[in-house]
Amino acid sequence: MNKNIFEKKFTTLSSNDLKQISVKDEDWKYIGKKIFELNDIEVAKNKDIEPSNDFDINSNGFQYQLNTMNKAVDVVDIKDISNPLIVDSLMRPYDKFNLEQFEKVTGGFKVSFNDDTEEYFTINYETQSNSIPYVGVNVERNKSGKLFLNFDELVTGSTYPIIEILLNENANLEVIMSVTTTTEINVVNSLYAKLHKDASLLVHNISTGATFSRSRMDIDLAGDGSEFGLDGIYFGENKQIHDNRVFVNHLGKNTSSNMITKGVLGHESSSVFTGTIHIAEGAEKTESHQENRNILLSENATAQSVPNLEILCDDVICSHGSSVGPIEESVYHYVMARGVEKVDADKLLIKGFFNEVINDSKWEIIHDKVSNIIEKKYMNLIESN
Amino acid sequence: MEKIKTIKSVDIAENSSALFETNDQQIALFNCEGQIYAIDDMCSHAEASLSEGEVYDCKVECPLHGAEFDLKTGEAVTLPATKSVKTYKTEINDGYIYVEMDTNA
Amino acid sequence: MANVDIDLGKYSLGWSDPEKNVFKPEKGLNEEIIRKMSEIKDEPEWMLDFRLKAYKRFLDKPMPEWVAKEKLDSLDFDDIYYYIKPTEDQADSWDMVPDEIKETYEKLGIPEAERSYLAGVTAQYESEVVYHRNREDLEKLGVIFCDMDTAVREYPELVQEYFGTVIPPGDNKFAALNSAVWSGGSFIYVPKGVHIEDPLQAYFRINAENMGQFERTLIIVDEGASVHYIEGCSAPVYTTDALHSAVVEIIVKPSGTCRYTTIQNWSNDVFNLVTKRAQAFANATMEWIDANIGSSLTVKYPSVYLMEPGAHGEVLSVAFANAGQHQDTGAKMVHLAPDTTSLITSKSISKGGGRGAYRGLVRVEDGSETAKSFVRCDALILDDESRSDTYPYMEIEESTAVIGHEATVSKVGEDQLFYLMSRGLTESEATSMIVAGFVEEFTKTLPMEYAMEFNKLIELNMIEAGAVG
Repeated sequence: MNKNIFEKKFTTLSSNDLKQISVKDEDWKYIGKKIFELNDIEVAKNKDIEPSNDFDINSNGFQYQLNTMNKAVDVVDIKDISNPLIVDSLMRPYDKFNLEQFEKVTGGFKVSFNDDTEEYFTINYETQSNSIPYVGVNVERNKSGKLFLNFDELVTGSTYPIIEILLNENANLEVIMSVTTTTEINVVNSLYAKLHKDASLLVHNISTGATFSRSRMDIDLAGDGSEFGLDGIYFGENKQIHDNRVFVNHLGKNTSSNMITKGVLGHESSSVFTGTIHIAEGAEKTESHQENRNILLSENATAQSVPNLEILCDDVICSHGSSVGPIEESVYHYVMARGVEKVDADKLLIKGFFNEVINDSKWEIIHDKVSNIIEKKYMNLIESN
Repeated sequence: MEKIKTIKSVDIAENSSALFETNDQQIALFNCEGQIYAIDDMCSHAEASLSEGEVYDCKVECPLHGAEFDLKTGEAVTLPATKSVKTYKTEINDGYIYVEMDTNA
Repeated sequence: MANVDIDLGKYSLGWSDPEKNVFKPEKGLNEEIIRKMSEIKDEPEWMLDFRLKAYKRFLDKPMPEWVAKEKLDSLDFDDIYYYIKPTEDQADSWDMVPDEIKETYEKLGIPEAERSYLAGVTAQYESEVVYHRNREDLEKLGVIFCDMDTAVREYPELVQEYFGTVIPPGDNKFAALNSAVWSGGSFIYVPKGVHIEDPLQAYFRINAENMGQFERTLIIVDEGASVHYIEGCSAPVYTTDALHSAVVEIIVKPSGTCRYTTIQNWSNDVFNLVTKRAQAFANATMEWIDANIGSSLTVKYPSVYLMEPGAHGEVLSVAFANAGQHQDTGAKMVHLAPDTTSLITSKSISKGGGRGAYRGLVRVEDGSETAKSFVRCDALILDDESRSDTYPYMEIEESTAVIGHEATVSKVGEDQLFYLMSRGLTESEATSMIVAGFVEEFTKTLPMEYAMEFNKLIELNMIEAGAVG
């Protein structure tokens, strides 16, 4: 496949020049033995995909099938792209894994929102073996787009997507990134977004599937007035690892970021939430709030929550909060004193815990699906106990 | 539990150490006052190899943060280590050191 | 603690005495110097061995790469004096203390304190304890409070049992250095059930150009006992860097309580790289109260290892980072047993281009059932040249533990300023007041005279680098 656009990025360096990533690296801490699968990914061969009317695009990471015609959206194959979507992505921090992704990219396309869309433009992934798909998303000035990246049951092989998002002036994009495949594979997303003046990006993150589900987001709020929002849920069972790393750079003035992620961990699963909110010099009137809440339901579940702040400007309002622990005792007593059995009390409380995120109107199109998954995963935990 | 044959006892000088590896275990062997001691190689505090540490007074000092472990009991004598390391019985047969351990670990 | 008259001139505490020292070796460090030092101190064999072993560790270990790399790269270990003995012998009462040294302490206000009824004072000058006097009643209670050198000679078993067990020489490069060349510092032993009402105190100074300070403190609080120890220090101004690398080890036995307060005000060319660690046993409480106002670079994370059920650890930390300063401070709490609790409160203020950072770790090991830990870090950035960072590490392996963390960063609210100024305060007075309110939680733990001095220092800090107005 034609790697024109990526050759320009890394002309002098190859992933073999860099040292292996290890769990001692700040960006890869806490994931244990999983690290060994990421240092030298053997990309598999192409397999055909079938179009599906439920989605606008079907992709197996090598090729895609455009199922619908949408006036507002243009899709261009990666073979026909000659320049990277975002010039600055050449300067984002990279390590061997990231470089590997770009070197070994298997296929992909660019999605351009040239007009407003009310409906989500949906991309469904299916792969049977290692793939590294690329999606470049561009939203034109003053336009609003919605994008649904679905990694569901058809993803039966590991996949390592690269997602680049460029939002022009006053552009809006809402993204649902949903990893719900129950196959025991890795889904490791690298997402980079650059926002120009007054642009806004809102990401809804669902991570309930795969054995190793990770997303790293680097968001550059370059333009004045740009905004980034993230809300997400994750639910771990068995030996799953749900890993979210978010790096937000507040560069312009009057920018804001709001993040709330909530997770429940059972069995021997674990979660990681780290990243950095970086507020550059001169990024006046920045406002940033971040929250990460974790409930541990079993003895061997763990959660690491380490949100860092680097603030180089004084005219800011910044807060973050995180918590890890079992369901609060006091809340239990309240519910059980009203005649509810412990098992049901747990279920009720967990639903309530997630509702703050999923009951938001913006989650409407996936609300039921997510709600059902949560219910099912909770029942799995009960049964095995 | 089996008695696994490791290295020759003469290969470990007084107050020094050696590393013995199986498929999934790493054992550190020490010679202190003529006696051979065997403990887990991995420090209980951080990822460091105890067989690379210094030995004196029948204690080994982890090379990474200086925590000391008693070779006889495996106990952590100083912080920052707080948990003891596992110890293994040893015996010398025919000049070789045998370590009693589980091979199904 | 006496009333210190701080005239509000620049660096009021920054003066230096013409040097009057008995034995002054060259700069730099080698085995020879360590042996000589140990000999002069008349130390037992085991301490010399300890020092030499530590010196090897110091040479082997690399410099840390993860903090203040630029500043640390400028540190030249060969450009420092490692030991100076200022007087022939330790004095037993004020009369015996040499004049120049007495004057230094007079400026710091100690004679006044001597007049009023006070706890015993151990004062350090040029890395050797010059004056020391135990209060009679402390002696009657069986409390040992002396300098570390004396303790090694007079209480060898007690010292040897604990020395280096909380912070072994191999712990980090600077603990290794201290372990090799330590001199001075306090030794405190509080017997079972003894409660010491008034705080015990000490002062430190760096005087000779390029003199490093390596005091070593060991505090043992026996079962059910309690003590509050305060250290506050100042140093003269020099253009070349001075190094302060102390080690403080504390053991609090079951049901014991220990509070260790530090007000650090080294002048702005000192590198302050300190390792402070405590072990708290069943139902014991350990509190670190830590204010970092001076120094060019401070790297310090007071920690508490909560060894047994019911242990409680607290760190209340305040840091001011002014122009050219980098305060990288925080706390470490390690939960190793069920029902342990920890509380970390960090207040950091950056101005004039200073850089304040909170770096902390809460580690809860598997098996520490129902452990609870809460961290709160607040930062105030006073202008757009300054910087504030927060790196709160959490390693939680126990599912029943309850862990929380909250952090905020902001600047002084305009409405607050406006309100105060409309009542007649100047902008710098108003800012000063707001900052004092921001750190009030800390200030109210101090004995009154310290609190007054501390508030004065805040004012000084606000006015000095042309804070505002």
